[in-house]
Amino acid sequence: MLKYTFRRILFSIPVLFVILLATFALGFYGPGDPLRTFYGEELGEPDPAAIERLRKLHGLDRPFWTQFFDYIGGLLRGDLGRSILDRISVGRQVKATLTISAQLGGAAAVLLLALGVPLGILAAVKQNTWVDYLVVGTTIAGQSTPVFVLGPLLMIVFVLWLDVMNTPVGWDGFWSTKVIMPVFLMALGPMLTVVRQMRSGVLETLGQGYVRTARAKGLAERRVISRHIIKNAFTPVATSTGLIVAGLVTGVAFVELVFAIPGFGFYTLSGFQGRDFPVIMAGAVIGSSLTITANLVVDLTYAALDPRVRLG
Amino acid sequence: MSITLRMTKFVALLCGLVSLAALLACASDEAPAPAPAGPSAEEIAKLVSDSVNASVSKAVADAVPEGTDPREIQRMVEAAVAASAQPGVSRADVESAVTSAVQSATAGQLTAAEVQRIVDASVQALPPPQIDASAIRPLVQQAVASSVPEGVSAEQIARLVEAAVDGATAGVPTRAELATSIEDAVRGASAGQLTAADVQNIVNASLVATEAAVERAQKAAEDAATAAKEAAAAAMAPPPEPMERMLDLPPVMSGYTRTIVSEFTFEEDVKSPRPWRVGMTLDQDQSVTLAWAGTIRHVIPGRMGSSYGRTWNQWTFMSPFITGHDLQPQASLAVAYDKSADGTSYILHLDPAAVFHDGSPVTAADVKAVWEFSATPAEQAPWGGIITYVKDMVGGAAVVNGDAETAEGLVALDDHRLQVNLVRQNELFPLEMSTSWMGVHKGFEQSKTDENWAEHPIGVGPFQVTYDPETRDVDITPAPNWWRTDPPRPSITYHIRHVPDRQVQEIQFRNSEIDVGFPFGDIADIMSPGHDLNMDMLFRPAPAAGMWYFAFDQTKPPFDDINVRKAFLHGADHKTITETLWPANFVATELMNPGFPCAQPEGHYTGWAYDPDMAKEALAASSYGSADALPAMTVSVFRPVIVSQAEVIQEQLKENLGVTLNIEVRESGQAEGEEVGIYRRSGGTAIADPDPALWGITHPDAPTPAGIMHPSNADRMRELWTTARSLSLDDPGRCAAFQAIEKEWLDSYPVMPIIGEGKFGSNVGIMVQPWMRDWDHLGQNGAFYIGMPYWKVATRDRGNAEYYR
Repeated sequence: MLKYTFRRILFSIPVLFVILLATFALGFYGPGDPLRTFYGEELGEPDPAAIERLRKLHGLDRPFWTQFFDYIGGLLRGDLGRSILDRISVGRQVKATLTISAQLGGAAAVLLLALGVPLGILAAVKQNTWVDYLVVGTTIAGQSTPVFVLGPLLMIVFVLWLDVMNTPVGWDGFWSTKVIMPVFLMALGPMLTVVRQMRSGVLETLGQGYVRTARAKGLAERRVISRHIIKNAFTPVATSTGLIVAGLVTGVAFVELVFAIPGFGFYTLSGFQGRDFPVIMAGAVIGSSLTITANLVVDLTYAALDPRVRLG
Repeated sequence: MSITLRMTKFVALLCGLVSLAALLACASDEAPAPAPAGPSAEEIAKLVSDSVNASVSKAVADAVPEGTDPREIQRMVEAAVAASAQPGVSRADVESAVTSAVQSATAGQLTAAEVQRIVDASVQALPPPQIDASAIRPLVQQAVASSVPEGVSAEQIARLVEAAVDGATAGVPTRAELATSIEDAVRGASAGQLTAADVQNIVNASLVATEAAVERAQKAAEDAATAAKEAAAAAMAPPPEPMERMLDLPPVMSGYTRTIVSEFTFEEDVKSPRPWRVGMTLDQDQSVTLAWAGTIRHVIPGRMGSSYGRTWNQWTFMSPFITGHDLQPQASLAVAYDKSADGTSYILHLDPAAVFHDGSPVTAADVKAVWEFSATPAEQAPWGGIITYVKDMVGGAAVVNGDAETAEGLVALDDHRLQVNLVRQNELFPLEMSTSWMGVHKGFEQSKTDENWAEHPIGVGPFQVTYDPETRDVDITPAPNWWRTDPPRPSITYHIRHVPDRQVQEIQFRNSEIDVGFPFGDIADIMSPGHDLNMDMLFRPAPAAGMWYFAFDQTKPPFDDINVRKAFLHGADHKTITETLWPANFVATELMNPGFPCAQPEGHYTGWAYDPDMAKEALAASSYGSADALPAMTVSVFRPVIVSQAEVIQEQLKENLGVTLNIEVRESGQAEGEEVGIYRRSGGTAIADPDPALWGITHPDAPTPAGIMHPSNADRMRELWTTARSLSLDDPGRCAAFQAIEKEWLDSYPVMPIIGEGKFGSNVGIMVQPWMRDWDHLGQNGAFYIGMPYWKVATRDRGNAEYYR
């Protein structure tokens, strides 16, 4: 298993390199220019000399490969560069924002599994009853409603109508009650995926021979579900959950935007809006690294969940 | 009062005993003795009225400030009088009390006529109602109206009036007290055996006691009046004299003329649409929370273009001057300037008292250093900011281009005199020095040792600013080492919170979590009287100039033909399009809107009206003759609402003229394509003068119109500009010269208009909670928060209807 893990990590390096190269190339050759954005595009045609001065200042006038390898060199030294627009160290900003997003994402992942898995089982066991319809319908509605609608709607209900809380905006630490609503919304988005996968997995497993055998042995239904169904039905859920969690931990930009949370998702979104290359690259580095890691963890989890799976 | 009662009882008892003895010795049917000599009813009434009213009137007259709202005075006086005036003794009261006492005491030994005579005589001796709020009120009001000195707040007035009335009424027996006194005396003395004379004596004794009480009341009123007067004098004492500006300026250099600018004053008459009112109490939390939708990226003056961030700068990074309510330069960091005869050189005289937040003095060398530092490429000053002005200084362009670190045109003559030599005559230099971009700080020094200096810059002014790049929040707090007394060192703080979603801002506003915000949603909706937030939106129209527009590239066909441009202008209903897509804004019709200095006297140019027939005629008269002959035309846009605007214009031109207009939707930061012939542009000014208002849009060498103005138009405009700029500010022909520039430009059909500045485009509408008092905002010239040091927070209560009066 160690050998497998090591090999996977080695394989991930070229993957990461290709991702960075592609992202860098898109930024370099694609439309949009952070300096033109910085100067305000509609005020008038920016002074070409001024643009050139700034291009030189930020090293953007150098050839593509020089810039790219310069960036990779900095990355290997742990230097993510400085924002073109803010001129603040990207590493410093990433550290601050990712810490916040990771806490929120982690909490959302726990909530997602804590609610999604039992609801999926419940929907399967009560298939085609009102319970099934309620669970699936609610999660569909939750995923279908954009967070920038649902967020303010919940605020209006809890803040203005029920008057039970202040508007949960900003970041006062993980143990603040402000995190409840954003964590709930972060978990609600992918809840449908977990519920449906769990529901399908349980329904599929219910028809298996070993389940019938377990029942024939006289095991109680609860014991059949917990011992023989859940474990087998959970494998596909684990696959998708790994990637979902990676996405949650790197921040859900719109949740962070609505709740004014200074997280990594909103930071990256701002970078994209301003065509701020170092910030965009940081988003690519962190996002792809976490996705690769999540994939690895999922693969390792398979072996633990299913004895038939052998790594190597 | 207890002494009075005891005295009254003692005298009454004595008289009673004497009367009893006399009664036993004499016939009981003797006529009642005449009342003892004492003040007559008129005398007592006059005494009381004069003393009370004179004292109160005098105290109040000394205390009421000028300019107080009459309705406010009315309420104040009524409240004070009602709270202070005690119930007094009226004739009816005494009559009733004495009758009751006599009846209970005499047990029928007096005839009804005798008792009546006694009582009548007693009542005649009493003063009229001693305390009468309704009588005092008009006297107080008259006093208030006739004498209104400055400098006393409404609460102080209320306190003074109350104290004066209290003093005037203290010690005067009340109805119940006098009745009890008389009844007790009569009962104690008579034991049911009094004659009419006894009763009369008893009543007389009571009246004597009453007279004594009135005398004491008079004395108390005089004391109260004196105290009130002293309190008023203390309250009205002018604030400590502002630090005497040391205008011991060096002699004017040869060839220069000196202007000593007026001191910045927070003018009362335009101070606030929400003044502080009597009865309001300060909230314990004097920190103001503001919410912002935008990204607060820059707090440093030199790094700003036209962002919201500049608005507080006048109080955190003082510029040489500040724009006053009269839109003219007033003293800030500098107190005077000398101007050379040709307008190419100025000498700024810095206030010798000025110090940075760290306590170090602000010198001319510091000002030179910070401007040079701010203009260097490394500081990345945006277009339209400080570099615009530094480039006009001799050697400034080299600094801006990164070819030099210092500008030789900036010369520190000594610690307090900075000479600025310009590359051209510039009559507007003092106004330019009033913009927030020229704010002074120590970034040039801090940056050498602290790469994050911009998060906690050392500035100059009553407030200091800190920025948290992680949360994007800004805090503005009272600064140490504030060196002036006006404004006084503030006690209010500001927390500017980054809340990108405006809908969330509105929820916070409605839940009283933020005190100030920019309008949420549709401004026009909020401005309608029926909107529940209408009263919270403060709107101060400000003279402004500028325009958002689609600019024709007049160097490219077909827009090099004026008739094509004319057809495009008349061929689409730009007014309806703009007013539909930009609710509550208005379509641009000219560059200088009414109210702006030198605006066209007739106002609102009508030469661009929607007229499809005229459009067709123009197209037919063009060198192309018809739509079919026109080459491909493309407009470049990227903002969604502008894309919509272009699409409607495209549709209307197609319908009215048969013209096909292509739309290039580009990404943010993407350069416009080669085929583009119509560009989205805008221009405006931070200075209330026609020169900067027109230059950025109409001067052929300005960045926006450069390269797209028709050569013949460009030549004509240069001529007009040369003429206009040769005129001094006080030249009577200057306005006409700039109006000629504007008219020439408008008549050349150079653009398709979008919105005009001056209504909402200048940030003049703002959501303000009702408890924010003494609030003022100008909405332009970077003076958005001009009243910032003076604001107060009353008790936070959105349900308080009094706040909206």
